[in-house]
Amino acid sequence: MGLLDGFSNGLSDFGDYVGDAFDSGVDYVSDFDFGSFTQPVTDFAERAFDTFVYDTDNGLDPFFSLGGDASGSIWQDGYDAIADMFSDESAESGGGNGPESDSGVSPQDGVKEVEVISIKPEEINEADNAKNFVQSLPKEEGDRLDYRLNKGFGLMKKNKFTPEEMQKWINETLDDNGYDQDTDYTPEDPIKQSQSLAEVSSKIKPITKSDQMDYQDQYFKAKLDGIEAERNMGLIDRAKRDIMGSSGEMLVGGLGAWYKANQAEKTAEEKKRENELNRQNYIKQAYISKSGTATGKRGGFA
Amino acid sequence: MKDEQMKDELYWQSVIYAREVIYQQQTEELMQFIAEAENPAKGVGQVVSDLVNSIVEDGIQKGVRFTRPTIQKLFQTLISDVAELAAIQKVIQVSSQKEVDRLVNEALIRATEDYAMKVKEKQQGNPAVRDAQENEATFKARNANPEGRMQEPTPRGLLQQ
Repeated sequence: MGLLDGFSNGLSDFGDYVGDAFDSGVDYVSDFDFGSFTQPVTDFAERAFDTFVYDTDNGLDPFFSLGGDASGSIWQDGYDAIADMFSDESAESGGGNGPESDSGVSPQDGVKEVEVISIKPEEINEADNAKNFVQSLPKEEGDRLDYRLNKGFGLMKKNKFTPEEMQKWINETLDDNGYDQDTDYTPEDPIKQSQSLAEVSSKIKPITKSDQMDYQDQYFKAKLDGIEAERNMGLIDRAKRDIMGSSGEMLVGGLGAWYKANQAEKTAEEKKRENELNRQNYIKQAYISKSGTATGKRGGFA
Repeated sequence: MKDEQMKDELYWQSVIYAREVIYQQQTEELMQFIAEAENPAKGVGQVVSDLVNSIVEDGIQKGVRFTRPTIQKLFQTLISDVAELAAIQKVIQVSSQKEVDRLVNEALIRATEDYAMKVKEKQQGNPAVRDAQENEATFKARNANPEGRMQEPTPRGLLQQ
């Protein structure tokens, strides 16, 4: 029996739908990835939740408001940010999400567009946060590097980079941008360093296309290093993405290179969870297939 | 059962329950609601907020505690499901990945806002919460005026013990 009686009661029935999905064939194909939540938006939702709703992690009761005005203008700020992030202007300048896109960099009075980066398909899952991060960069070049440095630092903290790793990344970034840390800057606590990055960035020379790509390579390298450490904790979600593919559709023919390479290392509990994820996806496909949504007909379950 | 396992099970049971509603029980109603919404993202957000709210309320009545990460993970999963279904059924029109990204991200904020408003309304209408707030206000007033503490009326219920 599960935690919620009402939820558990339906579990056994769903098994039939899974079988039906195999029998009838799953013909549903999604053209788009509906799971592309960008880091700034999820961060915003997280902060808003902690401000207006509750945080049971800290021992507060559900539905205990933390104060603040839930009808305040903070939401509009969020919508404005989304409007900026997905503006038509970005699309016209080469914005997009597909790996087929070019770098989108076009010199124009020292201002470069960094809306899209080239990512190999197999790197999309690995560099998901990094891609979102790069796409979230503001347009104004003057703010870009400052934002990039601080945002990159924040992401590394969130991904549990060690202070030494953060220190190394910051130092390398400063070096690569023409800043002499040995004479102009005294490496101290990484947190203090990050606070002074805003000052540092104002001295940095205008970024070139080459700098930009180097930075991105560097960021991805740091990010991928971090993912190595993250793997042990994030196997479940990563397996889910690998099983489902970037489009959210089940990859019937195989589970992907990463999944295969790491399957042997997974524990029995993780395999059990993967099976559940696998089953879940078939349930979803079965619902859609059975209800005729792929063909425009409606059937439904008897 | 370990804490993380419980959270994981709670999440998946919630997803199963919600998908039964989305794909089977109330598909037409949900799609109609989205079609008539002020905009697609708001419609998707409100549908998911309602779903999550009913799941959390049901859980609380059964003594189950949802954490913020679990609720937000539910938001994202269900927004993906609902938006994808609405697109397949042509309730909403999307022609590029960029439009999809904008839709689901705005829907996430819409859902969070709607959920926050639900919590606020629930709190304002809950006598137990009102009492707790009054008690908290009294407590703060006492601390702000220690000399007046002896003049405070005896708290309700204390004399009955």
